[in-house]
Amino acid sequence: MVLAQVHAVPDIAAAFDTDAAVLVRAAGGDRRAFEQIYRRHSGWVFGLCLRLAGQRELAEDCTQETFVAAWRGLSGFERRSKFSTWLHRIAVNSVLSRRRRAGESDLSERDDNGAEPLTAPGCVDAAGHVDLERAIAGLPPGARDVLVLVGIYGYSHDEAAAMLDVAAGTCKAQLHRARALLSARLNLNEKTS
Amino acid sequence: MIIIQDPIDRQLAGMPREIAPPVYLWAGIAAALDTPRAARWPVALAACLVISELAVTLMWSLQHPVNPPLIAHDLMRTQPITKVSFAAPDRGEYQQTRAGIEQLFRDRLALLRPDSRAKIEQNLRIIRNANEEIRRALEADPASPLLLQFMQNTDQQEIDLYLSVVRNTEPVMRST
Repeated sequence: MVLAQVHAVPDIAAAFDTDAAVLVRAAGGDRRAFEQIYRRHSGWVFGLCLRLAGQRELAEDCTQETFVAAWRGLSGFERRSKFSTWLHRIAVNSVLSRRRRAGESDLSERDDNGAEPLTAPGCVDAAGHVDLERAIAGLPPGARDVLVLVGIYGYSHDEAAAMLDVAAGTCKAQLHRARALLSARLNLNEKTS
Repeated sequence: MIIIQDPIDRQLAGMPREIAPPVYLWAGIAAALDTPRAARWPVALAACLVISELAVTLMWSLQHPVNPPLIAHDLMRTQPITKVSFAAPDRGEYQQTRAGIEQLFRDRLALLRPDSRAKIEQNLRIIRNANEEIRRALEADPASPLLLQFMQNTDQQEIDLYLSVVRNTEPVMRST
């Protein structure tokens, strides 16, 4: 039996976009306002970085870099997109940039090399989210990036493609690949556990 | 209401999107907020255009030297570099390989005539300055994939410059 594949697309921007007044104050150099922005968005940004980078320490660095970059670039934010989308794009840039600088095309190899694996607090529940997190962290970077942005964070293919600087068709192909790999890995886990 | 029937989609949709960062993270961010803001990105674009023009000049000067480069005998034993791929490097291997190429570049550069060496060093400075400009422009426009691409291009141009010098100063085998 073939099940229909219907993707969940939560409206991220509507869920938590930032008050215009707070943005204006922060853009003017108000650090308290910027801290409000941090408190409001850091969970999403850290979650995104953690899943894209696949490693906690790296995710902390990328989150820090994202908010520092946002602070410096806030006066140039032109509101052509939602603030949250702009911020997430910075986070994606940060991860991709660090990946490039480190010369790592596959950060998921960290698990095999004894570094701290992806076990994010709050991700362990009865539904077995840790296994899913591990399976996602083990995906090849291109496939993982798209799966995280589209599958978990609900971005459209066009939005994810723009963030990753790839064609929308590539984005769709990578998602297909990621889902196939994920299916195989999760089935394998079920057989061996 | 969207009904998610695929088990993977259902699991993905059920994953927590927010993960709390460690509490100390804000302190580090707050400390970094006082550093000065950066210049706008058109400067970086201009730098990129300069690089493209100079890359052509450099290739011409290397392939048509006024005097052939002087090669030391000990370099005759050096293995020729035929291909370097950074497409899928292992962790740490990229940096190690890059450092190795840079060292070889420095060794070969030291053997060139002073005017050729000065020209190459000038081009290297331009590439590095452009990279720095782009890095600062990224601070001002951090969400720009275009700027990120520019930065990666200048990184690659620096490596291409190293390789151009190394390849063009390979010892020539002579038949006797």
